[in-house]
Amino acid sequence: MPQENKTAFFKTDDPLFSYSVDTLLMGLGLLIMGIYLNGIAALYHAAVGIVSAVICEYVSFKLVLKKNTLGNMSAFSVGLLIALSVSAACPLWITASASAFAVLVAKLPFGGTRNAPFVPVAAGVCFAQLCFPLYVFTYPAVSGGLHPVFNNAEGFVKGTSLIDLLESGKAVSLNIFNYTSLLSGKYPGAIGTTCMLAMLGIVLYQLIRRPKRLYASFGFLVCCGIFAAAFPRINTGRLSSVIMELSAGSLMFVALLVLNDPVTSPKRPLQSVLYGAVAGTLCMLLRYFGKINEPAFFSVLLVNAFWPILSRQTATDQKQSNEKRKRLKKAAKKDKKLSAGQKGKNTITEVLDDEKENEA
Amino acid sequence: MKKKTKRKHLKLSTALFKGGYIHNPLLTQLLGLCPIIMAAISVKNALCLSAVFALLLVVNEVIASIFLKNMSRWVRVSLYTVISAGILALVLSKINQEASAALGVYLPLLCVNAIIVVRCEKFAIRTNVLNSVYDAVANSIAFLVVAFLVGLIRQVLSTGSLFGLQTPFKNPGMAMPFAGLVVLGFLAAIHKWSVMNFYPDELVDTFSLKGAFEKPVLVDPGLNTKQERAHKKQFKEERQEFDRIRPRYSIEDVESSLEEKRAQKKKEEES
Repeated sequence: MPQENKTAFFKTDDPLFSYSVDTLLMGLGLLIMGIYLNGIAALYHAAVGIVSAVICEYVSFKLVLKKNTLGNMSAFSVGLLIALSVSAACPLWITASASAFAVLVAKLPFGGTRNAPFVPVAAGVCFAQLCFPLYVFTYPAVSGGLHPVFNNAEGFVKGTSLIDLLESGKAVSLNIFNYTSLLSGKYPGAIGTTCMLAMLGIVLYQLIRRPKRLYASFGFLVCCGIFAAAFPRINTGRLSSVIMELSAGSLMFVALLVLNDPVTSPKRPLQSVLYGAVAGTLCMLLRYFGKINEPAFFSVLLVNAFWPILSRQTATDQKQSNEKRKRLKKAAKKDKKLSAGQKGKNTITEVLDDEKENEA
Repeated sequence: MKKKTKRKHLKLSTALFKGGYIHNPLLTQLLGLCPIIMAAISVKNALCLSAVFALLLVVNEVIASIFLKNMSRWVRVSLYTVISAGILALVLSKINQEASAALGVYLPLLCVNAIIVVRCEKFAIRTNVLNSVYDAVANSIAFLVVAFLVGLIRQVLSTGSLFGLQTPFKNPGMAMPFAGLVVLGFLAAIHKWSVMNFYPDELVDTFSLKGAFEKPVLVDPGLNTKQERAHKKQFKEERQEFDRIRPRYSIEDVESSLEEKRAQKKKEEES
């Protein structure tokens, strides 16, 4: 096991550090597209989100007399992801308060990122969505250019997002121009969630760097796709429904960057796919029957809450490799047989001992 | 040799300390959360809820300790609800309409509050009237303190004002139920921290993850020290027994024990 360098600020040996750096790099791509689409306001949001998360983490860890975990960069990634999932038009203090909530309520009380039962990003965004829905769900019309698009700024034009269209049963006709608009993110939405081209880039990046992270995303997206195809909310066909549902709101963003958080998501492939499928089902149910405009983040929190109950064995299974488990199962079977037939030899140690002696 | 005399009556201070602080039903067992989370959004609401709750608890515990000792449990539990509903029917008309409208359905729902049933069943039917009154007072004060703190924090954060004083921060979302859960969670954490630091001997983890296997010790404030010790001893013995019986299938344990055995065999051979 690599020794952790205690003197350095950046904990490069820490797996959480490399994960956070990867998330930051992916988020940076989304931020660049966000700045291109929503103006300089996107950059302000990102800066405020990161600064707020870092300050909250530093101060709170100082107050509880613990060493802060800024070195693993998780606070930076939390701040950036929260900034990317709010509207560019909402005031900056909303981003700051969402970041503060994520760190102070969803992260610190549980002892830091490693022990947090909920994804801090999802908790922060849900807080903003519940407390300030009017601001968070007011998206500016996409026009391009580096001009401010805040809600109270002059010349602010409100845009209609894809999710609003879906809720009212309206569809976008799928011709080449609209496909291009979908790919480049020219439909109104949160800062980093609209550009599907950038999302494809993230998929490629994860395929190269961390392919295992995509299992949960795969389960989530497939489940959402099946729901969209089976129960379309628009009349222009099932394919159109699937494309619109998947590219509307923060669904892709949540699937690729939030759901597969290394702390809360399971490690094994099948478990990950199931985890994603449960989250996807919850997300689509909330979309169809819920009152909240963008329920993807809520579905992540719900699956975080219920997953430990659904898979009690996950924690123990992760620790044991397949080979060891097979051996133990064999031993347990023998243990049962022996305990039924022979008295005195009913412990696994003795069974294993006998086996080794026989082999010798 | 002098015979030790058993104390018949519980001291009010002991009841307050153990029932109200150490074993606070809201913060340690998370009982009766509904009114706190949903309705305690201001100090006024919290005080109103606490007053009605105190009345219900005292009356129920007194009736339980006098009349209901010899009844079967299923009759008793349904009777608590009937008694509470009867009291509420008398009281509701006399409560300020504005206050009762602000509390909505959560005021009548107090008659099915879990704390009332639990305290009556765990304590009142096993002791005399005075002890049960003390216990009811202690639990009512515990409820009042928690409700007041939750109401105060949520009022300050949601409306930005407290007794006419304005605060710079105002977030209407803090009046929503999730904020009640968050505030209550922080209060429970502070409570546990204080008990752990100042009274570590009194700490009983009623919400351990091994709850399915272990017996939580719910020490009643009415028990004397001898009984308490017996409870704790029993708990300890049960836990040791559980640890002994529990099969340990971790490969590390198996390998270490094997190594020990090998080392023993080698020693024997050498000798």
